[in-house]
Amino acid sequence: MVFALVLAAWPVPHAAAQIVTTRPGATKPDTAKLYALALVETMLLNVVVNRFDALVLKEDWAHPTPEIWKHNLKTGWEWDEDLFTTNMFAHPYHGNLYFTGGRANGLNFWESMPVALFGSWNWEYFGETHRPSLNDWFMTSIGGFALGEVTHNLAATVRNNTLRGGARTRSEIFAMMLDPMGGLHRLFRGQWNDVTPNPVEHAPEAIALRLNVGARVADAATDTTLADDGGSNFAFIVELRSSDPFDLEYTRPFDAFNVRAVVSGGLNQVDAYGRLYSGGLPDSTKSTRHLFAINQVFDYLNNPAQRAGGQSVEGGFYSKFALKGDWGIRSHTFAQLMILGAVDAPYGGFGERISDYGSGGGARLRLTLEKRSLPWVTLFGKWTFISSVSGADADHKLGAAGIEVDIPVWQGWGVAAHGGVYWRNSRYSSGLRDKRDFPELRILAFWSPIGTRQ
Amino acid sequence: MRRAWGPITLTLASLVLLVTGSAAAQASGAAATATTRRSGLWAELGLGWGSLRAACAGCEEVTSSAGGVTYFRVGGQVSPHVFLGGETNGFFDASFISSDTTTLAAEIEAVNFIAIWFPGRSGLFLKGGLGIAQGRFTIVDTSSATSETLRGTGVGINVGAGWDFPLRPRMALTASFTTQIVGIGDFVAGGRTIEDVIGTVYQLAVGFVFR
Repeated sequence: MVFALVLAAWPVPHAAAQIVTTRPGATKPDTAKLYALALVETMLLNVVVNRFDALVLKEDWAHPTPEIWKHNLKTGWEWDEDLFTTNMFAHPYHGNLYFTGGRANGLNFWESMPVALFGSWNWEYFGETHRPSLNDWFMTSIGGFALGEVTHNLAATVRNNTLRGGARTRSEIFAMMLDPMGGLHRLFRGQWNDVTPNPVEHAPEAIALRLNVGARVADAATDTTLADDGGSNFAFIVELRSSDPFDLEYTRPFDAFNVRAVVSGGLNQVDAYGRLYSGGLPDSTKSTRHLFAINQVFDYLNNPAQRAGGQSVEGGFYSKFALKGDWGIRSHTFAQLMILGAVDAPYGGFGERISDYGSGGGARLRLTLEKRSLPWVTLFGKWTFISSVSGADADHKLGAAGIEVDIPVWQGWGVAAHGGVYWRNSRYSSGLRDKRDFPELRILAFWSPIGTRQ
Repeated sequence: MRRAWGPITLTLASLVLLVTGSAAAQASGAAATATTRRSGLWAELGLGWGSLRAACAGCEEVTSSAGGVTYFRVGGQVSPHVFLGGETNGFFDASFISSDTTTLAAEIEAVNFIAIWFPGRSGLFLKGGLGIAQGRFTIVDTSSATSETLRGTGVGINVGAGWDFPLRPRMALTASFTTQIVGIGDFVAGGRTIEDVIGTVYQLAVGFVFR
């Protein structure tokens, strides 16, 4: 996805981020809302995926029969035993396909949510020999909302309806890599050659991308069954942002979002925040500004202290405090409601699954010293509580805190040092306690190929 | 142990549908003169019939039984077709499971954040919600006159559809079918642990709306 974005944007001159309250030249899509077709397409997608699993991958569970359908309708939901990565990533991607199918049929963000819910329900009851999985329905649907809207927006940004010829075809291909359902719809409708105004989601000037490469320094984990064994190794961080919430008046869900992925010794972290709603923009001439916002959150952490993730909603305030010259302080203060989360539970889990599912809440705080909206020093803290409803009878408290120093050097290049500590404190009804912590340090060089440069 | 839907349950369900159909027929006539005012703040109180299906980890069979449901919703309009609000709903069955000496009563309560969406100009609406839920099972041993209450709290998801029949500019009747799914964790009874209980309540209800 990162490479598609970079390659597609390469021929376009880099644009400095601008403060805009509306996107000039953008139009609302003039597309009929095809509700029924969107629902039928989810079922067709399920048939295609099921047949691929059955005939190509030879999966045993991909051969449901009418008797199994009847059994599933009679017995209903259960918690499944799938692997952590299957539930956290594969299922949201599947949900993303349902969701973007809705968007491709002219439905907006809210109208596409029932499409994803229906598509996932349909798969759970009729697509497998297993009983329908409640955690899959949550992760597929809710994760699909977030991932689907992000890919829909990115594809619309990569695609440029005003181009012609080879440049246009290239933009359509890269957009389809991000949003296969949208790309296929446009291909079959003959829209790859139509020259039209771009939709409101097309916002190349709002995109900022930063790539960080370096090394992680940490102690090796003592428990080698963990997915992240700790230790010192290569580090790679991708940060993608679309719009600063203070620069864009709220018009629709995910008009401002950011995604961050961290890799060292495996995938360590994925954070995605998408704005669902925010209040009116405060007066930009004031030295102190506060903006209330509600965000949808997808997060995933994997380190020797905790392997956790979930689908959440948070509410709170973005704040900006102007200092002298181009300097300022930005803060994020949010309370989070964890709709459904998962956490590794070596002393719990269920069957072959060694993680607990549950709901809970938390909070996050972020304080950044910035210059011309670019971060220089960031302090962060995050706390999460998950009470298990599947797996062990346990309560899990998770936390993370640290400091990140990013120093721009020249034309989008810079150096950085990120340090943090992750901890967990799990308490089981049997009296067992699981307390762990994991400190780490990353030394990085960064490059911003797209977006604001100092 | 599974209980089939008995004749009493089917009769109750038929009565609810009959009342709903009659009210709908009357409301259709009344709506011809009443002006629909689907805006601003609203509150809704509903009653009806429900069926609870309880499943657990490793259980090959599920247990189902019927009971009464009630709900209360309050919220406001955020767009011409969407209402957002909060809802509490409950299900109760005094004899979810019963034997010669033991009776198990089941209660499911949920508090949800809900969205109600009217896709078009008609009274058809879709409803979705997320929230927290609690399951309460009371075991009464009739031979020793003792009882024990088991509780579990967890996550709930609520989806449904219905029809809104305006009666007056500020009053309406609704008929809806909703599924409330709750994941309420483990229950320990008599030294035995029933793990990862999931309850599914199917609700058929009539509501009175004040706007």
